[in-house]
Amino acid sequence: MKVMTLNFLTCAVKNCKSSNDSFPLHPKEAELAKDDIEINPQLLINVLPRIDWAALRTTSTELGFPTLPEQPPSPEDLQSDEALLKELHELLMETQMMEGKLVCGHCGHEYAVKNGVANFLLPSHLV
Amino acid sequence: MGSHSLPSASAADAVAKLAAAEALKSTAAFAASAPGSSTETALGTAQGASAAGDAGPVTAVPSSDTPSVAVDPEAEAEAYERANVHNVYEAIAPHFSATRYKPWPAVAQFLHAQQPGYVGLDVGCGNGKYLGVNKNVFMVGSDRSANLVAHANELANDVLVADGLSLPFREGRADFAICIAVIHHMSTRTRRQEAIRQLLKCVRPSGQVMVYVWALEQGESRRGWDEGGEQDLLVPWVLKSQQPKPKKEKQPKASKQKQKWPQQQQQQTHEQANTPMQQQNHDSTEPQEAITAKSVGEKEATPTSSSILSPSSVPKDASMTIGGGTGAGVTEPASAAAAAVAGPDAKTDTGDAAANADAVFQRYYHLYRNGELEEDVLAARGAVVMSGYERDNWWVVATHATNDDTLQD
Repeated sequence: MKVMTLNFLTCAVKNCKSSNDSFPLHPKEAELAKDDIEINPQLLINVLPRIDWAALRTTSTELGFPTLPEQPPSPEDLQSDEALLKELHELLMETQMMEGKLVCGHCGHEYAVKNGVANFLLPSHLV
Repeated sequence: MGSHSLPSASAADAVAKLAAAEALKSTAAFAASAPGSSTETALGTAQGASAAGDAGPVTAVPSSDTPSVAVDPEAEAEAYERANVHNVYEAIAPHFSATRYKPWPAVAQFLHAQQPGYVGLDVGCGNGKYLGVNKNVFMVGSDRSANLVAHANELANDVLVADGLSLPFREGRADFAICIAVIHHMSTRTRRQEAIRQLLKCVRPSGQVMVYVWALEQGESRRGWDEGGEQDLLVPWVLKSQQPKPKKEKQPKASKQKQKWPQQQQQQTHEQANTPMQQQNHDSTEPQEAITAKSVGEKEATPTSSSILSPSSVPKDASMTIGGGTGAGVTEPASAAAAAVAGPDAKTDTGDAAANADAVFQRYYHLYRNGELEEDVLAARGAVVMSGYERDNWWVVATHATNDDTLQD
């Protein structure tokens, strides 16, 4: 599960959807890996405005990376700075959460991540 | 925190650079590919909701077949689907996956119409065959079947396990979503409409959702289903007990489809210019060879086809079925029923009941009649952008109702 994907996930419990505490989910006991994925600059530059940057900062910090700046880079920055583009690519696309849990900050439910796949099926009492 | 393998120097470098970056500002280069500037895709500008009627082989719409199961408690419907859909897919996942490699043309066209950098969802992604169709979008796939998801390892995409009615996606964030051959597995109309509602919630206000379901009107297929027929069916999936590998079994069909595929691609590419998609569908005259991916395994595995041509009918009231036949969506042999409950591993020993016994897994389907899918979109507070018929399937592209100003006639 990519850091990029974590930016689009929230708790599967209906009552949590409207709560700000349910996003982003909090990684717990996370084991990370880095895939070697070919960089797609156009995709990355266009994806940037779709990122919830504040949530990405939270996730990034919780995964043990140094704190990201408050503001996202501009598309211009990305276009002109190949190294910067590569760093973003590494964080969003190549960094994988392989094992661990994703915890909802609202209801506290923990979703298991195994072999890079998160399981969001709910126990019957939470459906 | 767990360890990570990004060199910390590199990460720190990234932070420094990001910190140095100026606040986000819009540039010409960026605006050119920004999402808001181009929601009118090739698909979006095609003709409207009347497409279904134009494209389908059947125009009359039976009106007496509205399922009455909506009053059933959710729990019963869920239990029914668990037995007659979820458990079956868990059990047949490897075999099923081996038969799913070719994208539907209408779906591929929808995916290719998305802008670079769009974020898309594939709800019910199965083995993930749609995740890599357009390499310039970022897709996240989800499926109810963990075993199918295990087959969906697309390097550039992500997959997760989730129920279509309890999706973990942040609302309004995706640019588009697809839901292919999924909703027809839900056993009440309320649940089918709710599934579409959940899909719509995932996409931004002008985002589009493509839904694809099996049609009741399959006049050109050999299954024998057509207008006026029973809509709620159990459809068998036969796992040959003596098959060493699903792949080998698929060989003849695979080569046959290879011959057809370039031709279709050509057609599709040609059509992409500005011809409405339903025209292409209408012109399709190869229902048997390029038949639904679904039927491939079924037909292949059932030489006599008898069970395909006369599928057992399901009582409209799903609760009756639940009460009567509990457990797995498997009818015969007896040991196969246990296999479906026990899960995927059990299929390896289905042969011990009788030497040549095939495991027959029954999947629940609701066959959509002409116009029904559009009705469900409206009930889900969506608007139909366009719709059509493609080889035994109805499809629709929907968006949020409040953003729709193209039809409503």
